[in-house]
Amino acid sequence: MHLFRHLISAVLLVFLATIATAQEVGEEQVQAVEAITQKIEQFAKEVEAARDSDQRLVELSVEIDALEKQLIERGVELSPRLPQVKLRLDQLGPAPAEGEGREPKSIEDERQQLVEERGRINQLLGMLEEQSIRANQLTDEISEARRQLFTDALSRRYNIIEAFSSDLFKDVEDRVNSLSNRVNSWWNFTWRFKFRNALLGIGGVLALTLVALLGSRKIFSGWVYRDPAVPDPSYLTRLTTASWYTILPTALAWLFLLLTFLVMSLLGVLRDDIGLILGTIFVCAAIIILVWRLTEAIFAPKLKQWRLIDIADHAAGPLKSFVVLMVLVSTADVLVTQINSIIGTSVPVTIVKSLFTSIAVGLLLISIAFLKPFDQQVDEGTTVKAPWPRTIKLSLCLVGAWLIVSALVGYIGFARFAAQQIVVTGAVVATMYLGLRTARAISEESAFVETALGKRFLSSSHFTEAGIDQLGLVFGFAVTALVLATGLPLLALLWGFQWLDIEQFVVGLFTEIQVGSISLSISSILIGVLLFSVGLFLTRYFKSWLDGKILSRSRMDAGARSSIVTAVGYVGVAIAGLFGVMAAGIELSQLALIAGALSLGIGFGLQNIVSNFVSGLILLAERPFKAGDIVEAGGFTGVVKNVKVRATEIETFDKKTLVLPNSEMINSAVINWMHKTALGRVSVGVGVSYDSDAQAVHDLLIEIANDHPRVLANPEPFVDFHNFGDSALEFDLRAYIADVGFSIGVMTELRIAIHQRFKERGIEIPFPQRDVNLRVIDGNVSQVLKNGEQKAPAVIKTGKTPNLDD
Amino acid sequence: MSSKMMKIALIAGVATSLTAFAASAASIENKDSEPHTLFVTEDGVKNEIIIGANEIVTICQNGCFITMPNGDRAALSGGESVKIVDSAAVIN
Repeated sequence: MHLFRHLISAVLLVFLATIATAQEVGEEQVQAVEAITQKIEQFAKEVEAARDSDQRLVELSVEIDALEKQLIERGVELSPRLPQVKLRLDQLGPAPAEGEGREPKSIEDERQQLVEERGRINQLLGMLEEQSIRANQLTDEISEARRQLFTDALSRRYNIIEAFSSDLFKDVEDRVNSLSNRVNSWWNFTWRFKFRNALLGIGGVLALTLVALLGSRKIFSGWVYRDPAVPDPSYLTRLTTASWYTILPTALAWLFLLLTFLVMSLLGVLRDDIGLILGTIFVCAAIIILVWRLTEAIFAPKLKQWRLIDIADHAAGPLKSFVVLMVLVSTADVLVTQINSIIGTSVPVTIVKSLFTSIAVGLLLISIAFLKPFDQQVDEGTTVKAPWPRTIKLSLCLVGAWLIVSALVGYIGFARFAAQQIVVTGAVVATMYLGLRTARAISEESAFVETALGKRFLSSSHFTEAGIDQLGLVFGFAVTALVLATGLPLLALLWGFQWLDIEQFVVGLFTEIQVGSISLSISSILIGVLLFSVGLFLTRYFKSWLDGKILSRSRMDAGARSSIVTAVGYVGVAIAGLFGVMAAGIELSQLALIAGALSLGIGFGLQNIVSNFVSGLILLAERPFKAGDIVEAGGFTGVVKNVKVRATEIETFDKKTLVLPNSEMINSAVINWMHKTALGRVSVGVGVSYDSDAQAVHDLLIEIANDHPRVLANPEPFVDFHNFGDSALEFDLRAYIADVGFSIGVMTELRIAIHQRFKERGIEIPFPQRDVNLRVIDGNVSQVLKNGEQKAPAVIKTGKTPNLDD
Repeated sequence: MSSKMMKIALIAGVATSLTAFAASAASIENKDSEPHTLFVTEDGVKNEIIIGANEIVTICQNGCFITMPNGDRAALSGGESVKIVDSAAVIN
């Protein structure tokens, strides 16, 4: 009884606890959602109020984005609870219908709780959803407002003449005074109250300067130095040197500026506004330094051989100056705008500043257009200065003129915006161009090998020159991809596309391209290729492992092993191919129509190949010969090297390789010297003179054969006395040897032995024999033979035809 | 290390980095034998999508709210796989 009561109370406690926590969770969540709702309402009001301030709008936009994320996060927190509630409800079973009587109170209570909680969670999620919609609306409103501001700014037309009134000079004077007042007050304050910090700051700055100067001289001089004595450096060398020339000193300068700023702001020496101005000055200085080094590296007015683009000496200097001036003007514009925003804007000053910037950039563009940067060879060895290609010259002129005209007419906002866009876009495009030229230079034949990096690869022994060349190709491709991947989105951002749009576009490009009803996916195809390659590698390693570890321990002969390994290889490739195609997401059914149409033609064309392939499989299975056998096929004799997919490779004794289609091996007779056994029979023919003792010769031959170490005793050697020949008694000695490959050697040794032993025994091996019958004309045979040395030799006719001694 | 292996490594790197993009979406699988209608609110736009039986749909690159056929709601932030069983959602 006690136990039972304890149990019940324990269970009840647990119930209460869970209900309590559930409620807590509910309360906290409800409050959080309400807080977010209020914030969004507040933001809505602020957006309305900030319609004139682009900066404030951007800030609000960022905050609303953060809020949207919070909404989703809250939703994700709440969501998992619902399935749990539902599960529990399902466990409780369905509620009793009207007339069925009531269920126990605890269950009814719990059911009530759960249903309420479910309702509450759904309500909260619904509210979150609503607020997310509202937040999105606000974001759209902000974009719309910003767009409106932008259009207004661009299309607003100012009265230039009015700006040049006496107000202007007063305004400028005011600004200058205000600025100097601020600087003075800051300086006085700092000197008086933060003396120590100020000194530290100055000391620190000086120290940094010293370190920078000394360090740069020591470390970088080698890399950065463009030796005028080198006559013709390769493009790649020029590029790398130019990169170091630009990057290293610039990085150092930037580091110096950054550290100076940090030191000063950490020491608390900088007042807010002064800090902002100083920061802007530093940023402008940083940009100018970069552009200065970059243009010097690219145009190299005094070092023609180090120049990165193909223009004449006389144009390099002016071009560099123009570009630097353009950037100078643009950065000065930014600086003045920033100062103005701190000390107070005035419309005339803004107008005049923007006017100046736009006209300056326009004039510079036109000046660049009218340069004659190329040297053209006219005949007789004289060179004439040639201008830009017409399109370039024309477009530069037009853009420059357009800037100037729109500024003068009064569309200052537009002109200034256009001028800045042109300068920045120009910079990005120029950098991309250099990057692409770099890529091209790297991938050019044998160019990569010559660089320092390439030489290091070469010396590390893993690579051949051809391999490094291909490496250069890969690097070139990688650099191109990098340039495009960074440059194009950057350009898009500059011209107003949203990062989100760009990202979605790129992702969509790679994951799914819809062409009608077929959807390609580049990433899937790449994955398919990757899987296939991985499959191929795995197959290769599996084959060698199989051969090395498992099959070498089995009792099978080499031929069976190579058959199995080759078959496994085919299966592996087929599986890899299947996986690759499946992963690439290629719908085979879409190819079916094409495949059907082509199949007839392909079938006819491929019948020989397929026949060869199937013959190869049969050869592998049946093994009428295996690798290492000596076979005669196709009229040639040789050692079988390899049974491949289409043909069998046979190496003749001349070390020529004979490639025989497998179908021929199947369809015609193939003689295998070593099919069942490696036994072979040698046959040595010898003729002895008619005077010899045939039986003695027979026995001697057998003896000679038995004496030879390689000749087998079983089957015995035997002698075949096969003919009474024209000149001799013809014997054939036949003996069996263990390995048919040694047949030539054995036969030679037997012949040597025969020759020697016959000589010892005095058995003659005759030359071709002829019985000659003499017919003497005009004389007596015995007389002729007797009078051999005397006077007129008798004519001996051996034939019917007259010969020369007649 | 042959150049062939380098090419393969390059392709591998590109492919894996691309698949990383695709991995952030949420997928919904209808395990029932009848089609279901869901409401999806993404980027402030409420859409109705119909998922057929045993069909898988990829949605929600950037987080969304969904309403199930049985009235339950859920919020997804990407990378979840939702299974609809008996008109109710199971979220992993």
